[in-house]
Amino acid sequence: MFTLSSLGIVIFQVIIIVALAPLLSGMIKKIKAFFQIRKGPSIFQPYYDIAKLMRKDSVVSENVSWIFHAAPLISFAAILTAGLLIPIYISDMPLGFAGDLIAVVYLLALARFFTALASLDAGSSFGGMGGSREMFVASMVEPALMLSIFAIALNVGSTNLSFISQAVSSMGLAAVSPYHILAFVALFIIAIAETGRIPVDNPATHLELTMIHEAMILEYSGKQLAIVELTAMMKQLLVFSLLANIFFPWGIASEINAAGIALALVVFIIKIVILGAGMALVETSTAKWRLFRLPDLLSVSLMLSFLAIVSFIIVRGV
Amino acid sequence: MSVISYFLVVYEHEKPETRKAGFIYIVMTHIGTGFILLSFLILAGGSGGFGFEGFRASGPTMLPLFKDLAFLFALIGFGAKAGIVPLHIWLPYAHPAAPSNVSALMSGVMIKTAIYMFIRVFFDFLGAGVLWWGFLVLAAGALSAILGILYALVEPDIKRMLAFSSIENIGIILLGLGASMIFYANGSPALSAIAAIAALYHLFNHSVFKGLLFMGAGSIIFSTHTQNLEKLGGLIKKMPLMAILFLIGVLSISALPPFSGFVSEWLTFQSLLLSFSSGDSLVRIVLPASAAVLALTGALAAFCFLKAFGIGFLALSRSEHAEHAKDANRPMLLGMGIFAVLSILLGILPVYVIPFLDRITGTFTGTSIGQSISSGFPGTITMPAGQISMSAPSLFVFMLVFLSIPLMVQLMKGKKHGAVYETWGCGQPVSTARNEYTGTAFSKPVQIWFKNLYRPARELRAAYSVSPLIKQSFKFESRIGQVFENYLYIPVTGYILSKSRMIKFIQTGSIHAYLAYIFGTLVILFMFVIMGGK
Repeated sequence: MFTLSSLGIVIFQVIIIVALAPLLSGMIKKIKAFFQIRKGPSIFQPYYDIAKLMRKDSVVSENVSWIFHAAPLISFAAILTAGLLIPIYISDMPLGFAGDLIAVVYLLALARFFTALASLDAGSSFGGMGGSREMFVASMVEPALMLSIFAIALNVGSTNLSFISQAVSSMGLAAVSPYHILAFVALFIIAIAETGRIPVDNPATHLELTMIHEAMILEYSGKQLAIVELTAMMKQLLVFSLLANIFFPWGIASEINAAGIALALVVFIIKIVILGAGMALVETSTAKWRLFRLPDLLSVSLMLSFLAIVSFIIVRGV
Repeated sequence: MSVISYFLVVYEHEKPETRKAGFIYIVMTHIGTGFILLSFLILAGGSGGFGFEGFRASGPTMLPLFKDLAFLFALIGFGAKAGIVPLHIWLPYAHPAAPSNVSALMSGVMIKTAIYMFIRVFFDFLGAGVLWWGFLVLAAGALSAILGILYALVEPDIKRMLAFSSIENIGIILLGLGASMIFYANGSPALSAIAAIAALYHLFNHSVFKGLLFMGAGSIIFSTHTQNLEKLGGLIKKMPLMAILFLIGVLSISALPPFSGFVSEWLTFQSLLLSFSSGDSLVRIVLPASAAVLALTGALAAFCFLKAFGIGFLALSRSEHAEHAKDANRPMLLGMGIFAVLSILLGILPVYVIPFLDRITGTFTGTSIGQSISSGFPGTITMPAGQISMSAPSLFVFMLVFLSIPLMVQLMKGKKHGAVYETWGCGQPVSTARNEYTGTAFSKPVQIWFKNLYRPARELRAAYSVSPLIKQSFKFESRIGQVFENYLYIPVTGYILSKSRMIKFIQTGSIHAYLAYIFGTLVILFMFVIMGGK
C-alpha cells in the first residue's frame, strides 16, 4: 500500500522533473551548437532565463478572460500529473495505478488544449495561427502515437508504464527485435512533433509565418511566461523519459535503495542526453518543413507502427 | 417515434428550410422503417411471432443466409435512425431546424434508441455469432466517427456542427459495439462485456454532454439571435456562467481528463487493445487500425470544440448581436448545470457507473465483468490483463494538488496580474474584432489536409467603383462539398424522379380515370385470389 517511502518517491520524482527539465533544454542547445560549430550558451541558460522571467512584471492584453490566466496553471498541473505516471529513476511507480500510457497521452492533450485555448483569448491573429497549427499537428500525431502505443503494448501485453519498463528490462537484450526498433523510430518521430522541434516546429524562431508553439504563447510575459516555458521543458523531459524508459529501461532502479537510485539517475541523464543529441542532429541536418508536408512525416510514423504490429504477428505467430 | 419527432422538427414550420429539413428527415427515417420491417419479417418468418419472444425463438433456427439478411436490414434500418454514415444526411438538417431543446432530446435520446435495437437484434435475436458482422459494425463506426467529425470541424453553424458531432459519437459507440461483437463471435464473452460497457458508457456520456452543448447552443441563439460561429465571440465576458457550463461540455466531448468523455474513450481504447489476447491475426490487425481512427477522431474532436469555444466565447465580439448578449436566465442555467455536474461525476466516479452498465451488458453477453474491473477506493478501473488500470478520481486529485501549488504562491505574493495593454500586433493598433482569427481560418489546415474529401469551392468577387484599381467591396464565399449528398443521394433521387416522370401520363387528374384504376386493381386482386390464393 501507500507508505511514507512511496510518498518520498513521488516527491523526489516531481522535484527531478521540475529541476532537470531546464537542464535538458540547455544541453540540447549546447549539443546543437556543437554540431553547428558554435560555442552556444551555457547549459544552465534556461535556469537563468526562468529566474529572470520570474522577477519581471507581466503585461497582459486588455481582451483576455480568466482562461488566459488559468491556462498556464492548468497545463502545468496536467503535465506534472502525467509525470507521476512515467517511470524516470524507479520502475515501480507508486502512483502508477492512476493511469497508463493512454492516460498520459490524454493529460498531454489537456495541457495542449488549454494552451491553444489561451492563444485565442487575446484576439490576436498570431495566437489563432499558432493554436490552429498546434491542433492540426496534434491531429496528425495522435493516430500515429496511438498505433505506436499499441505496438508497444502488443510486445509486452500492457499499457501500464511501470509494467512495460519492468517487462522490457527483465527481457534484457532479447527485447531488441525488429518490432521494438520499428516502434521506437515511430515514437521518435512523434517525439519530434510533440516537443515542437525541426522539421515540425522551430523552437528558436519568432518569425510569424512559421512559428507554432511560440505563436500560441506570444501574449504571455513575466511570471506567466516563466510557467509556460517551464511547462514546455517539462513536457519535453517527459517525452524523452517515455522514449528512454519504454524502449531502453535498462539501469532503472527496481527497488528503493540509495545506490540503485543514484545509479539510475546517472543512467537516466546519459540516456536523455543521447536522445537529445539525436534530436539535435536531426535539427541540424534538416530544414523546417512546410506545414502541409507534415502529414507525410507523420504517416511515415503511422506506417512504421503498423509494420511493427504486423511484424510482431508474423514473428511471434498466432 | 419518427412521425412524432417529425412534428418536433417542423415546429418552426414557417421557415422553408425547416420544412425541407422535415421532409428529408421523414423520408430517410421511412427508408429506415422499411428496412426494419424487412428485417422483422425475416425474423418473424422463423417462428411466426411478431413479439420479441418470437424473434428470440426464431433466431437460432434460421438459415445463415436469412440471419445475414436480417442483420443487414436491421443495420441499414436502425442505422438510418441512428445516423450512421452514409445514412446520416437527415441529421445535419433536422437538428439545426428543430428548436434547441428538441435537438438535445433527439441527439441525446432518440438516436440512442437505435443503438438499443442494434443490441437487441444482433445479440438477443440473432445470437451475434458471426465474425464479419462485428467487422461491418466496426467499419460503419470508424467511417461515421471520422467523417462526422471532419464535417463538424469545418461547419460554421453551431447546431449543424453539434449534429455532425453526434454522428461522430454514434461512430465511437459503434466502434465499441463492433469490438464487442467481434470478441463475442470469437468466443471471449468477458472481453465482449468490457467492450459493450465501453460502448454503453460512451452512449450515456454522449447523451449528457451533447444535451448540455445543445442547450448551450440554444441559450447562445436565444441571447444573440445567430447560430453562426463567425458572428459570436467574447461571450465569456457577456455570459460568464453559461461559458463555464459550456466549457465543461466542451472538455467532456473532447475526452479530456477528468471529464466524462475521457473515461469512455479510455475504455474504448482498452477494449480495442484487448484484441491482443485474441488468437485471430485479422482481429489483431484490424482493431489497432480502428484505434488509430479513434485517436484521429478524438484529436479532431478536440480541435473542433476548441474552435467552437475559442471563436465563440473568447476575445472580442464579432457582431452587434454578440456585443449585447446577456447571460442565460436561471432555468436555462439550471438545466445546463444539472448536465454539467453529471458530466463531471461521470468523469471522476466511473466505478459507480460501471456496475449499472454491467447489469445491462451481462444480460446479452452472458458475463458479468463489472465487479472485477471496477473497485471501490480509490475509484480504479482495472483491465483483466497486464496490470492496466486508470483511476480518474486520483488523476483529478493530483491535478488539483499541482494546481494549488502555484495558486498559493500567487496568493501569498498578493500581486495583481501586471500591466494591462493592448494585444500585440507588430506595433500596429489592431485590437479590433475584424483582425481576429476566424473559425474558417482556424480549421483551414484540416480543410487543406482533407481537400479530396471536402472538395472546397471558393468564390472571390470584387466590385469596382470608378477605376479597376479602386475596389469598393469584396465578396468571399467558401463552400464545402457534401460527398454523400453530391455523389450518392442527388444522383439517386434524380434517377427516381426522371423515372417517375415517365409514368406520369397515367396521372390524368380526372376522377373517372382514377375510379377505373381502382376497379381494375380490384379485378386483378380477385383473380389472384381465385386462381392461386389457396
